[in-house]
This record gives sequence, structure tokens and C-alpha cells, in this order.
Amino acid sequence: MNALIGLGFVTLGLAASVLGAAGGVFALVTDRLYLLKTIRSWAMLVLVAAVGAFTVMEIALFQRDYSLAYVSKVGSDETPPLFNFAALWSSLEGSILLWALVLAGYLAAMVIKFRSRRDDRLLGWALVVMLVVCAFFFALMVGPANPFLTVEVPPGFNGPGPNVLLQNHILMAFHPPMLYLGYVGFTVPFAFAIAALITGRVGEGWLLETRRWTVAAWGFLTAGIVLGAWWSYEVLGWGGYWAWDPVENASLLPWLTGTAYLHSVMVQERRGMLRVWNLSLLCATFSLTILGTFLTRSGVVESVHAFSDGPIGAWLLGFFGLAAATSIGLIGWRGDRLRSPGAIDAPLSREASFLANNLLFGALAFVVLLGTVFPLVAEAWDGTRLTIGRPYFDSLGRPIGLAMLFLMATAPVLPWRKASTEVLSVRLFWPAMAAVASMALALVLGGRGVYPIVTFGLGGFAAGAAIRQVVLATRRQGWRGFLGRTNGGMIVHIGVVLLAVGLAASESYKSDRTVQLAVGESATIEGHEFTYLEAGADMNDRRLRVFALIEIDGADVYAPATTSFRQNGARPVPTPSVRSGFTEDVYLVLDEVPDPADDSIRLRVIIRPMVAWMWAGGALMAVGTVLALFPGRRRRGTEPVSAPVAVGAPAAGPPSGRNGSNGDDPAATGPTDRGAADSPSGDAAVPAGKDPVANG
Amino acid sequence: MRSSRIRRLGWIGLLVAALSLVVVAGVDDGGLETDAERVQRLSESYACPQCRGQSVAESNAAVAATIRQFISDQVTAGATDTEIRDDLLRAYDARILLNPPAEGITALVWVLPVVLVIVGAMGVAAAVTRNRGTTREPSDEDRRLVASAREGRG
Amino acid sequence: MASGGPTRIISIAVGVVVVGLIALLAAGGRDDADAVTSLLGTRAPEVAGTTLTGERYDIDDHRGSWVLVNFFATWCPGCVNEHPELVELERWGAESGELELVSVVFNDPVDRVEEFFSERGGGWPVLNSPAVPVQFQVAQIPETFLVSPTGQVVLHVEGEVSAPELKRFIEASS
Repeated sequence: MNALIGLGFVTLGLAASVLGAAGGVFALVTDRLYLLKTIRSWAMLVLVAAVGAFTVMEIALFQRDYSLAYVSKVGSDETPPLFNFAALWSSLEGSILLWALVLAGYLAAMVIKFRSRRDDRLLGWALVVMLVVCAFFFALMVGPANPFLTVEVPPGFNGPGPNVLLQNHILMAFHPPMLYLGYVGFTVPFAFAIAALITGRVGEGWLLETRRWTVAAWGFLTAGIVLGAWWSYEVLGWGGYWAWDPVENASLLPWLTGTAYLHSVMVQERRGMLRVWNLSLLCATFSLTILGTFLTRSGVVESVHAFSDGPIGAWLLGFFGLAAATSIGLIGWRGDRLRSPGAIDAPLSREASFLANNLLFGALAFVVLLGTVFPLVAEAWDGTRLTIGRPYFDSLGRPIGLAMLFLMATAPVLPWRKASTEVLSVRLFWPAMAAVASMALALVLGGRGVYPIVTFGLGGFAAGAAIRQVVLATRRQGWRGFLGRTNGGMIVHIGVVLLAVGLAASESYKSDRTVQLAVGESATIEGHEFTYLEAGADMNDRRLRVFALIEIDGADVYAPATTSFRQNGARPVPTPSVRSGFTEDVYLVLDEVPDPADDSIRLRVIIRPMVAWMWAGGALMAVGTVLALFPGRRRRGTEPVSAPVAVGAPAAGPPSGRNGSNGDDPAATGPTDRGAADSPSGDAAVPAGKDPVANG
Repeated sequence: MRSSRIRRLGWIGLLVAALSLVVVAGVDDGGLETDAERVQRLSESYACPQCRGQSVAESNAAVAATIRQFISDQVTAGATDTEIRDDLLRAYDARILLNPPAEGITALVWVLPVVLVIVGAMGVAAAVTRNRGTTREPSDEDRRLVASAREGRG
Repeated sequence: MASGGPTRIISIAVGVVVVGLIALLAAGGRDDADAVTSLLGTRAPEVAGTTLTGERYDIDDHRGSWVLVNFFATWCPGCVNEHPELVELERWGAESGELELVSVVFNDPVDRVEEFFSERGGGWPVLNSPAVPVQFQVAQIPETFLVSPTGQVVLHVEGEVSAPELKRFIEASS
């Protein structure tokens, strides 16, 4: 019964998306714009279908309806409610269902948000693009990833439940939805980008329309990635949080291009430049989410550990090809309309630093993509089999990361258009002192090594610059100095610094030892005393947990364990126990089950400093994103935002304390005010130049 | 102008301080590598054959523990890094190396990003240097326009 | 064309790269059957070291007889399951004079292994030398190799061995 209803909803979703898209295209091509309002109804129908299918699957999971093949694969009688709810997205078909639900939610939100612009062609095309993407995901569910297939099970059948690693920690209920909200959220700006290309309205209007959507999607993706790292750290028991494996890389790729876009879009809003580049970044971000899903779901990359093979890979690859071909074709076709009116005046300016930022993010994205797919290239070329792992990504990623930190310090204090070194030396003096102070502090506390110390220095530099901006903004605007994209962005920057510092410290100064301890015996590692008190076990009908009680420094007792799940053929998985702290984490793992006959255990002790800083940094990035979503300070069109034009200009010269750098939120100015918001020697004075990046 | 001279001195002081701190951090870096540190470093550069992405040093898998022990035994027996690498390469294949060797087609994985960064940097440099000097100074009319607009907001 | 040109050229270039990437991904990653052992039919790697009882062992001293090289650990349920089969093979090998056994410990403390053998029987040599599993590319245990009297690897069993099947194989081959 559930299968039938579920399949009905999925089919309804497919039909509504196809009909809506077709109707939209018909209305737009034949210029019957009054028909566009029907898209609204189709979109709502898609939402109903997605919510319906999702609900049916959850009901089936809670009813333990093993006649559904998916439930018999990921459900079990004993799974507790939270993990049972999360079991929906613990395997391929359910993940596609979650994806479709999130996508339908964004589609409906778009329809509601822009309801007053029913017969706008740009919005019409954007909705068509959204519906096409919806149609693809519903088609996946009707075709190769059908979550509602049925199966005959014997009476009394009990399913295996979700993968044991996915029911070990509460984070599993939050990390995938966050990630999907981010992944899928980038479909909205992509849809507007394609619509802008089709209609030829490649001006700045659509950027402002989608700015908040993009920021929100970016925030979800960031939170999703950080939660994923945290989950990996708390659950997998290897003491790390990031292994550069293809699944992680797939989530990082759109994040990198999305971050590049969030920065370079400001250049377009302010100066009208980089149009081709920004469109390309959005198209790349969306295409990379599909490519990433293909890489992780088709088994192409991890040929040894394919989760799933079968036709879904071909579908995803085909859709990636479609998205890329559409984007590239449209950009090539509209290239002539994308000429940007402005040019960059000086290498020492905000816009030039955004270009450098994009170069770094682009380079890092390229490194991640290359490292992920290169084993396939090598194998196709001459059969070489190879692995590309942490040392590769580290050695290329570190210099890029340090350069990013440096830019994070300098770019926010640079004014638009043109800056003098004098301005920089004034504004960067305190941040530079913070940099030297943090290096000195790190040395005094015992930190050594060039890389970590330079990271701490540049981290102090960047944090100093960001704090300076926040202090100036709050001094001028009170509590509103925390709101708006620029100010929220600075909070995000401080979060990034915390994350970078935590990363450098926990990677550089970790210690990893394995000791054999008998009951009552102690070992001293890195100044901490570990005493093995006793072993114990607790068991329920789902799992057997064997733990060892370890006393750290004679005070706190921790219980690293191994857990054997019934469905897993009782192969034990280690469950680490972590003492987290402001300065360091003590991470205890049992590599093997404590043997009751034998009273000694092998305890792996990993000590990593400042891991908590990374989670705090991630949280601060999320907070900053939320602050960035609030409207910033309203600015009148006549207020100056750039550097003084010339010495001796009449009273027009803005007071130097408040020019540039802060309160750059153009929300209030809108596209038509842009010329006025710019400096007196506005864009019109510059001969129409070319898009510097796309043509470079 | 005195304050700007003081600031310039301050910058020089900060730069010198930063550089000397980096030098101290680099030079005073724990001295010679112990055997345990060497085992750790080597283990970090080999992939656990069974586990995605994790190194032999990180993984809990038994095969990783075995290879760790192998490396440790070889280090104790006085083998060089190259000998250990050759042994592991002979036993498994190039997939055991987490760091791809810069030879043959694999060299591309190192070369391409560097080429991309250089080309990109040249593109950015061209973009920021082109059109310099072509920006027209604002005319008197521009200034009048701005001045009147600013009065309007008062 | 003056300004659309470069954009178009770059679009085409990116398009070509994307097409190449798609072709590669569509073709790639299908065969991993040969990923595991390539040892079959080749000379067996060195199996040598000191046994748990302190004697010197070298597989080359056992040329002329079939040798079963078994990788195991006490924490591995499959190894516990297959142990009676190995005990049976040891008995059969001693009787027929055709087969000898050697076990290699895979990441396990020696005292547990000694206890394991004293509890479950079996008196064949046991080595604790990580170089051996590394040379044999052992990734998951139990894993067993059969080395012919001429020193070639002729059989590779992933998972538990079955005594009757091995006996049949050896009888058919010799």
C-alpha cells in the first residue's frame, strides 16, 4: 500500500515538473506571458508530491513496512526513532528523495517570494530551469533509484537497519539535511543565471534577486561540511576529521566555487565587471554538485568500495553533461552581451583583491578536482593505478590557504577602485601587531615549525583586520554594525580564522600513541596519566557495547568502547571517547574488543590541540551567515563609498575615516542607483572594457 | 608627517619581529628525528589499502596496523626510506603511495595546478594593469554634479 | 565578434575539457577484478622468520611439499570458524605427507595467539612477522594461499577455507 501511494506521489512529481516546464517554455516562447501564472500551480503540485513521497517513506519506516525494498534494506525493528527517521537518507534512493524534497521546497519558496512578478520573463525562465532539475530528480526516482520498489519478505522478517556508522551519533540526523540544503540551494542562483542568459537580461538585476538565496545556501553548505567533519571525528574513531576522500571532496568543490562567487559578485554589483566570470562560477557550482553526486554515487572513483553501481551513474553523468553544455553554450552565445562597462583601476584596490581571491579559490577547486579524478586519467592513459591522498592535497592546499589568510587580512581594509600604501599602512598597523603578537604567543606556548607559526601569524592578521572592521561598524552604527553582508561577512572571516588556526594546530602538534594497559595500570602520555580501571559491557537487542573505563589525570573517567551491531555480523566498530577542551582534545579509541579472559587492553591515545576551535569557528561562520542575511545599513545613493578621487577636490572629498571598506552593502542602492553610488568618476568615464578574467 | 615616519619605523619593527619569530620557529624544531617520529612520518605517507583516504598511520584497520608494524620493524632494522618504499611498492602497487610520484603521466598532477596558477596570475595582472591611466580625471562638470547631489542630501 | 570572440574561444576550450572528462568518467572505473592478487602463478614471496616456539622457519626449506600459508588473527570471527578446518588439514597433511601448514599472525598480540592455539588445537608453525602479510598483499583476513611443491602460488582463498575442497584440489593437482 505504501509502495503504491509513494510511487503515485513520485509519478505526480515527475508529471507536474515536466508539464510545468513544458507549459512555461510554451508560454515564454510564444509570448503568452499570462500563462506563466500556471507555473505556480505546477510548482505547488511538485511540492505536494515531494512532501507526500517523503511522508509515505517515513511512515513506512516507522511501520516497519518491509514489503518496501528500501525499508527492508535500511530499517529494523530495533532502530530508535531518531535514527529511524534519519534512516531515510542513509542510502541512495532515500538521499535522492531528500534531494527532491529540498529542491521542491526551494521551488515553492521561489514561487511565493516572487509572487508579485508573475509575468516576468526572467522569473519564468528561472522557474522553468528549477522545474527541469526537479523533473530530473523525480525521473531518477521513477527510474533507476526508485525508493518504492517492493520485495517479498518472509513473515517475521527483521531488517538490518541503517549502516552501523550512521546510527552511532546524533549528528547523522542533521549533517545530511544541512548539506543538501546547501547543495540544492545553489540551484536557485543557477536557475536565475540561466534565465538571465536566455533572456539576455544579463545586467545586475538577477544578482540582487538571488543574493540572499546564495548566501543562505552557502551557509547551509558550510554548516553541513563542518558537521560532517565533526561527525567523522566523533564517530569513525581514527582521530581525524578530514581524509580528502572523494565524498568529502565532492562537498568541498561547490563550496569553493560558491565562496569565490560570493566574493566576486560584489565586484559586479559595485562595478559591473566580471559578468562572464560570475555566471561561470554559478554554473560551475551547480554542475559540480551534480558531478560530486555522480562521483560518490556511481562507484567510479572508489572502485574498490563502490556503494552502488547500476544505471544511476549514467543518469547523473548525463545530467552533468546537460548542465555543463547548457551553461557553456549559453555563455558562448551571449558572450557579446556580457561585455562589462568597467575596468579595474589599480592593483591595490578592493576589486583587484577579489580577483586574487578568485584565483586562489579557483586554484584550490582545481587541485581538489584534479586530485579526485586524476587516478582515472592515469589509469585510462597507461593503466597506472595510483592513490592521491592527504600529502598531495596538503602540500598544494597549504600555500593556497596561507595566501587566502593573507588576503583576508588585506582585502577588507582596501577601498574600492584605488588605494595608497599610506591608507594600507594606517589600517593594517593594528592587525599586523596582532599578527606578531599571536606568533610570539604561539612560540611562548611551545609551538614550533614554520607552517603552523606562519598560519597563526596570518590568522592573527586576518582576525585583526576583521575585528577592526566590526569595531568601526559598531562604533558608527551601534548594534546594526553586526548586520548586513559586509559586517556578517567579517564575523564569518573570524570564524574562518578560528577554523584555520585550529586546523593548523591540531594537524601539526598531534600525538598518536598506542599503549597496552592491564587493569589498574597507568601510562603517562604527553603529561597526562591514563589509568585503566575496568572493562564493562552493556547490551540491548540492537547492539553489544564493550567499553573500558579510563581515568584521565585521576579525575575524569572516559569510556571508549567497541560496538557490535547485530545486523553487522557483529563485527565491532570502535566508538571513541573524547575529552574536548579549549586547548586540547584527548581522544581515546579501542582498536580491538577488550577480551574478558585477558585483563589488558590496547588503548590508542590521540592528543590534538585546539580541535574545539575548529567547531567554534564553524559555528561562528554559521552565525555570521545569519547576520549577513539581515538587511544592512541603508545607504543613500549619494554617499561616497570609494576612495577620494583627487587631492583638492571640493568639499566632495569624503572624510577619510568612513570612506570605503565598511557598510558596503548595496542592498539599498539597487541596480539603478549604482552609478550614483559609485565615486564621482563613475563607470561612464571609463571606456567600455572587456571582462578581465574571462578574456584574460 | 612625524606620525607617518613613526609608523614606518613601526612597520619595519613588525616585519623584523615576524621574520625572526618564523626563523626561531623553524630552527628550533625538535632536533633530529627519532625512530618513532620516523615511523609516524612514513606511516602517514602510505595509504591504507582497505580504507578510503586514510593513511596507514590513521586507520584502525588491521592491515594498516600490520603495515605500521612492518615499517617499524624495518626502521629498527636500519632500512632506508627508499628501501621501505620499494618493499611496499613491490608488495602492493603505486596505490599504496598517498603522495603520487612526480614521474610519467603522474607528473601532470603536480604541474597542472602550478601552470593554472601562473596563467591565472598573469590574467589577473593583465586585468589590473590594463587600462591604467585611461581613467579620465573627473571634469569640472562631474564635480558640480556631485556637489549638487551632495547638497541635496543635506 | 570583437569582444564575444575570446569568451567564445574559452567556452569552446572549457567545453572540450568537460567532454573529455565525461568520456573518461563514462569509461573509467569499471574493472577492478585484477585489483586483488597478482600473485597467482608466480613464485611465492618469502615466508621466513622465527616461529612462536622460537624456531627458524623458511618456506624454501619445505620445497617438495604443498604448503598452505594462512593469515589469521584471534579477533577475526572467520578465522575462529575456519580453525577446525585447518586442524583437519594438518592431520590429513601429516597422514598423507603431502601438505604442510604455516600460519602468519595478522596484527595480534603473541600471548593471545598462543592461548588461541592451546585452546583450539593445532601444532603447525606460526610466524609473527608483518613483512609476510605485506608481501602477500593481505588486506582482509582470513586469507590463505596454497604454494605448490615447486614454490608457485597456485590458489588464493579469501575468507574461510574448506578442508575437503583443498584436499580435492591437491589430490587433483599432484
